[in-house]
Amino acid sequence: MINVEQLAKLVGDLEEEQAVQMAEAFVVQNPSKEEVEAVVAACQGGMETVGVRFGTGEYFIGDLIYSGELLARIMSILKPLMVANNTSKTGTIVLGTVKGDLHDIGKNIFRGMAEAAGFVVHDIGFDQPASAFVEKVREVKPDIVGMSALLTLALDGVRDTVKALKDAGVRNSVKLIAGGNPITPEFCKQTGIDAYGGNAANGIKTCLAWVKK
Amino acid sequence: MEKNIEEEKNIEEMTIAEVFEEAKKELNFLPPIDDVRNGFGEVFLTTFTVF
Amino acid sequence: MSEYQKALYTRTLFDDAIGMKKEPDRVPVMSNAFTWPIVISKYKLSEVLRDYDKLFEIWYGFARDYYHDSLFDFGWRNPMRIRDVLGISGDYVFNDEEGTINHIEKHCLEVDEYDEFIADPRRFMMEKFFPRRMTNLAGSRLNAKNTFVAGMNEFAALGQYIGKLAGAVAELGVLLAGGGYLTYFDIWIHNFRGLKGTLTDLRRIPDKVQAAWEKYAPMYEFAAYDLPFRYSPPPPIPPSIDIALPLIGSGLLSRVQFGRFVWPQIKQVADKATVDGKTIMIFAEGNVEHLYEYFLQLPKGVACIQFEKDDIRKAKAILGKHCCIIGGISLELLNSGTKEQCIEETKRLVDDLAPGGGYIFSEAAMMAFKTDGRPENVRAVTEYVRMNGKY
Repeated sequence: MINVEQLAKLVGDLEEEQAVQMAEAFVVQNPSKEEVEAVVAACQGGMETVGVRFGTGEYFIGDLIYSGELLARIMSILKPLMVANNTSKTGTIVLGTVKGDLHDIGKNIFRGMAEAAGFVVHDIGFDQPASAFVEKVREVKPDIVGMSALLTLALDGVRDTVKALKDAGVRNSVKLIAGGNPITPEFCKQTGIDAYGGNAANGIKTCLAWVKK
Repeated sequence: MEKNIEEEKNIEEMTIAEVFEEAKKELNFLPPIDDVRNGFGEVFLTTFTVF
Repeated sequence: MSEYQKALYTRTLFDDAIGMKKEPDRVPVMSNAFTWPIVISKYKLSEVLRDYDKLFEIWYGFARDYYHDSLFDFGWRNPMRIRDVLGISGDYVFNDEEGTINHIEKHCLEVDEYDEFIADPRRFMMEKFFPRRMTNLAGSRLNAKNTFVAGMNEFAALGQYIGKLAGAVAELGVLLAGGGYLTYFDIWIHNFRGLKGTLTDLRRIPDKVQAAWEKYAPMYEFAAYDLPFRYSPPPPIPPSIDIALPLIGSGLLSRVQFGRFVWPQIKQVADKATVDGKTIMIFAEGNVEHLYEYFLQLPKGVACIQFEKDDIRKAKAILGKHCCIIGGISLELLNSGTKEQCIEETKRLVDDLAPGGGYIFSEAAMMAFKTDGRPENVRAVTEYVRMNGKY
């Protein structure tokens, strides 16, 4: 038995030690598949709170980055349970930071939350040329392609990736989402990207809506 | 010749901190005033902790 | 006017703007150009940063061809020759085509080494930190010694370049900004624990981090503050501002964390600077509106603050009676606007921000890429302030 509201609150409050203790106690209880799914949902809920507080300015970028670490730690505790319970995969995402950009913190936060939401994430890393995205898409046939960019310069990399996916004839088989500081809804519209990522929690919501269709 | 080999052997037995002190003696631009050399060395190490 | 008199005049402009006791003769102009003058030149970035003659040509040319009163960066930001001999160039990834330099974080302190560092920080620095950071210290001790010697000789060559540039641009009435002083947080994220590492350490083991900083402080304060600002004779040509204090990662912290981990150090150095009659320029990256409550606690008349993503008029409204504000024209406008549009905007900025003093005009963000501004626009706006910024 676990108090999922309490867990969600602890994650949202960035109370790492207490959240970790709860997760560790939970794991040894041999929980059911439904209980595991509830716990994962609680973590997502907590991360959504983080996103909201970031939006209001209560949390800052440093807190956001830390929340990614907190989530990663809890997910690693829960991982054996998720594998054992064969928690049905929600969908597949190919994720990467585009060429010319070595930033990966936002991408990693998104990945952590996507995995918590049940997505299988193929993270191709940072500074990835358009061809690397195309190759991975051909290989794993994902539902979604996520592009991350923090430098304004890297916006060209995002455009190039979209074009390359079109040229390779795979653009219509995936949904495209992009996130990072210079990415705006207008940019996404102009570039033919299906959705603007915003903060990671919003991005995950969008992705979940896509795969549930 | 023999003296040089002896000096080199000594260097190889030094800690990095001692090696740094030796290095300060060989700068080709500072007058032989210990305080100035030491100060310069400190600024160098501090700067290249970050830059 | 002699070179020294010209330099003094410019210094007085900055002192008056920062001192907040009177309006300066005119609005001073600080440059926010980093690699921009290099990337718009015929030279490659990686080439120029390794050649003091080319650096001199570029930065002297920049001082001569525009109307800034002070240069902030002038090649010190990326001392590649020193990095080359020490073996730390590998942490910096250049793309000459795009004109970018990316820094790869290094973790020269592992999370389980805090106790060791705290027990004897000097020893840790010499025996672990420097060999991890300066890869050319590897191999024989003789090789390590030669690396140190080469590094310090190159460091002196950088100093000579700076001295030569300072003298030459003083003839034009232009000053260089002064020496750098970093927060322990920024030092930590750069090469000790990285950004993620430092942020998680501050949550998981904050007492250890603070103990480590407390132990590191004497070494740092001596070399970065006391030696240059208390014990050394003043330089022959004054800088425009004495102490350049960047807030790089520090601006990523929430107000609570900033207040706990960064503010005490800044307050301390601001108090010291007040006693020593030195001025500080806080160079804030990102948006730091959440930190204004701290800036209001700075001693009045010691600091100017360069804003990047903040609403500069809001900053002036909140902070303007207490500390000098630096900021100005957006890079988007400098790049895509017409000369007339740029001058229009500059006029609006000066009209809104200059009255009462306490204002320094600058480009709104670090200029690093070709697309950060067109030369004719940069010339037009700086010239406008030079000619029309009189009080």
